[in-house]
Amino acid sequence: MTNTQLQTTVCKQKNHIIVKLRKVIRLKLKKISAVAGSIAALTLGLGVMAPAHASGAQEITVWAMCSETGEIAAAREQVAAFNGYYEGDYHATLTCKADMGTAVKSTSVDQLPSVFEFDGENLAAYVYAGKLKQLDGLVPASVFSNELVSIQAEGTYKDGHKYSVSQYDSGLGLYGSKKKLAAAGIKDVPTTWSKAWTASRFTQVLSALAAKAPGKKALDIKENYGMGPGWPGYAFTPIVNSAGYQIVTNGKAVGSLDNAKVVSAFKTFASWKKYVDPSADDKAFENGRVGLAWVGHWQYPAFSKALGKDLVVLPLPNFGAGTKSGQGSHSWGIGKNSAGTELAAANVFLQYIMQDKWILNVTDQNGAVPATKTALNKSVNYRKGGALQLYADQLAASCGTATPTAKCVTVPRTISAAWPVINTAFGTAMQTIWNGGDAKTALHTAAVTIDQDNTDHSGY
Amino acid sequence: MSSATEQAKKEVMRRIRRSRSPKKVIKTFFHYMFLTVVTAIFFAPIAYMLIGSLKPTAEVLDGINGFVPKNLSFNNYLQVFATFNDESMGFLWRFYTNSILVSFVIVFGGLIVNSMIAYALARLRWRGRDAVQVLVILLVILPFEAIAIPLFFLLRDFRNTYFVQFLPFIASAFSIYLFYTFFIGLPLEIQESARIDGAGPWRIYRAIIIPMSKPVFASVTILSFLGAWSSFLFPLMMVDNPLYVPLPLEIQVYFTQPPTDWGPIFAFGVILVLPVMAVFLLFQRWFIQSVAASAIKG
Amino acid sequence: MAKAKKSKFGQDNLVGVLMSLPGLILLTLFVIVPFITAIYLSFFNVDFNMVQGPQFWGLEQYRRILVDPITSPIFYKALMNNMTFALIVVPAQTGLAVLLAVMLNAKLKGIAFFRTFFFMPVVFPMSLVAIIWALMFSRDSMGMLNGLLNLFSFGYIQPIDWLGDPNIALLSIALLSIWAGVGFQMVIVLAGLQEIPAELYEAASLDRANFWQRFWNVTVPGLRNTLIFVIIITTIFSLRLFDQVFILTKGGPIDATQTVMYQAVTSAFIEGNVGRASAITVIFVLIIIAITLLQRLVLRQNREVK
Repeated sequence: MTNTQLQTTVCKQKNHIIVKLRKVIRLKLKKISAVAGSIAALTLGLGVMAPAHASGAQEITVWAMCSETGEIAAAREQVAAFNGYYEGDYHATLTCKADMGTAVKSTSVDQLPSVFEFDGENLAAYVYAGKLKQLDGLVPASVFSNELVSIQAEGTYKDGHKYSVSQYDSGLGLYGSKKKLAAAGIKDVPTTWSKAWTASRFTQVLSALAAKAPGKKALDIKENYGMGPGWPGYAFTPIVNSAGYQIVTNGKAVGSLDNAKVVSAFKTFASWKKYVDPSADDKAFENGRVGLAWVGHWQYPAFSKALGKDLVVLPLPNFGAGTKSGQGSHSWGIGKNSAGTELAAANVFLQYIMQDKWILNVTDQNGAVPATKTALNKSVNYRKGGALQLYADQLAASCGTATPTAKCVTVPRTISAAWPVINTAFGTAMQTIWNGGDAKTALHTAAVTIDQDNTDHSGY
Repeated sequence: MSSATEQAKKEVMRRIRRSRSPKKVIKTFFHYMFLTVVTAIFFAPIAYMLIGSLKPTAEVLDGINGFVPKNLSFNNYLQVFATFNDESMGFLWRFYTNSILVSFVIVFGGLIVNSMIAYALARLRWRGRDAVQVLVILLVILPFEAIAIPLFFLLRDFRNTYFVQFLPFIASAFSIYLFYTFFIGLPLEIQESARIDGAGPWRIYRAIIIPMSKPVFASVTILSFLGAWSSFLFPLMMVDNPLYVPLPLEIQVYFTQPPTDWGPIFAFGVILVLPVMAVFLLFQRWFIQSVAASAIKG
Repeated sequence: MAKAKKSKFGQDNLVGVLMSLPGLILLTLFVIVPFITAIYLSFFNVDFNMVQGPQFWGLEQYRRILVDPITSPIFYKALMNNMTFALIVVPAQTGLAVLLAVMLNAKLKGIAFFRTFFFMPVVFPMSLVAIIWALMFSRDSMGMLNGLLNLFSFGYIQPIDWLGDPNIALLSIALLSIWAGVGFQMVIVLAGLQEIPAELYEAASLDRANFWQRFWNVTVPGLRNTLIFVIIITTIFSLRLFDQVFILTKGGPIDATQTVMYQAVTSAFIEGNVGRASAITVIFVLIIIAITLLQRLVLRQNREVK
């Protein structure tokens, strides 16, 4: 006991030293920066840069992700419209961040912007690091209740509170060519999630398709996106869930991620490699080399253009506990230190962009699933009878953070501050398995890594 | 006698050199052939960028047809100008001035700071000099990468500023070493006589050492400029506000933003590198001499 | 004694200290302090945002990096990649630099023109080099390099996935690094060549030594110090490998291009594990020091043998 106490005090002192060191450097730098700043100002005439809004409007800063041209264009339109609508009251300044993950991580709380957009999978990490403001009691409950249940789940931290709103969600499933499936003699093509093929049936389907294909390949899983950390965290976590498990159950990955059922599911998945086109040109499906593609909503425009009426949208195969699908996309949150009128303005901004009009403006440009129920009903592709209704149905059947069962489909990526580590560990395991490594060892290694990190952080 | 043999030898050599035997001509021909082929290989990627920057994106990635100058226009350049022309994405001119400002301070600050300490190490006797000498030599082999992460950790409260981009790079053990080796090689006599005339070390440094050391100042200028202008890792950690981003980082940012429009990306590349290329072509001799001088032998 | 010592410093003492002070302060603040911080942090469990405060861990970070069966393989993989990269780049780049320098060290018209082109990539920032080569390396038949190979092999060589094939990716990175860096080395070697007394060549010619004999018996010994320098800096450069990997492959495919620096940066910025990143930094410096000493030792011994 005393030993630990001693250790803690020593640590605390050492922690103080680091803080002090940083303070000393900060002081020194502030002086130097004053000089440097004046040099900069003289050299560049920076005074011109600061845009003057003398109207007395409340200024807010907005960071948006610059991932897609369409999305950033939409963000600009929204900010411009917001500034126009609230002229004299509020004024938002938009900044693009090429790598929002690093930006939010590296920026201290007091330097965070009023409002920022981020990858929804990082929500828990940001809440844990004290960077996001709790939104319930701030944003009206009606805004949340209008969100798709999947998005509500994604925006909720383990404390049960909401920390983000989202304009759109994503859909993941299979795309198929009706003609190719028919030619291979496959008649049981499922178009609703409850009728998804089982994994063993899927093996037969692949085999039949491959037999008819000139290149003897049947499936595109977008290997070209990279089988390492990243794509698998989104696209192949549903395999874990469809085996009936989450990556982490009650804070432990060992026993969950490396469970025998999950291992067996991944062995089956790896056995499909012989049917999978590496899709180095990103076009295995459009170019007709394969009859099925395992990918998200964003490919719909390209696929429907290439295949037209021949295109069919299917759920992912069922590995025992029903088909499961990934979900989640970009979210918007408020910087933890926002307060007073800045907070009020940030709140107004979030509500402004959550209007159906602006949601549809974004989703028209990036093809994603509108994340509110009302906007979804106005969407040509996703509403009832639309080409991508399956995705909307899947998102409506959200498993939330509960253990996945056959009654639900979409599972948010593990809502944990450890997600970056989980994502990396899982992606590395996926890569090993895909390249012929032993599934049990790979998944166990990942599970141990995840648990070790969890212990290191005292369970976050 | 021996000088006569020397003379004879030289005469023979001269004849050998002058002889235009067929073998010699063929040899020269192959020599040029080799140089031309290697030059073509070296220049190919640059030519590809130059041509690609003027072509429609769809025609850039087209095997060896990428070299064919067809449908040329400045549209890609116009697109780059249009893309980087607001506060959310940054301004093209701002990336430039960011890079210029940061490189300028690193180079000129470095010239002053590093030459002063090198002079003190080479020519003045003071307490602790030997220890500092050893320290500088030890630091020469320590690459910046080795301290990048802790440096980030200490300075993270100053992300997106100018000074954080130049301050850590002004003092450079390598520059100090270059100055030091040069100063050590300067003749002592002039300094001694100046000293007898009553000039203090500071005056000797300004009035005698600096004017005598133009070559090493030029070398350090060019070498530290090349380093500063290309800086990537630290800005990557420290800067993500488009208003403070330097050029080499911005091109990476532009490159990672889908859709990957190769035409404009190459246009950006040309915009980035053209001024430096121009300076290089103008002061080529200096560049090459500086690099040659950077070799610390032994 | 003390008095005598004091007078030895004389009037220079104050000026000497003052003139070295700015440099010393900056070096201390931005090189020495960070490095000591790295050593210090490497003994702790420190997370990026310091939510739970640093915990003293002793050598645990080092154990995980170097010994632990679950977490150490990735570090060794990265280190192996750095070594492989060095084994490719050091001989290839040095050899090419010497070859080019020898070809340029001739009294022919227009030599300066060729020299300009060999040197030109040196003024390109590495990020731009990587981006140009990203397109050169495009994997299908539309890729420039694949197009060229196809043309010169009369269609025999099929398109290569330069950055996507785990067996080739590191080689591709090496290729672009050589392109970018060889000009620098070449100029250094050229300067070394020009210091070799012409008489030695003339004497060798009179002895009817052919090109190779002259090369091995005159050029190489004359370049010894230059080559030592070139080999040392190229080796250190190989260990520092980061920019190209970050831009082109992010350590992939299947960790084929993981490097020590890339590990350090991702440990800190992706996993938020500053302790691990610091420990890697410290190991990295130790490796660099070890290699520098080793190379100097080996080369010095050789010199003594001669």
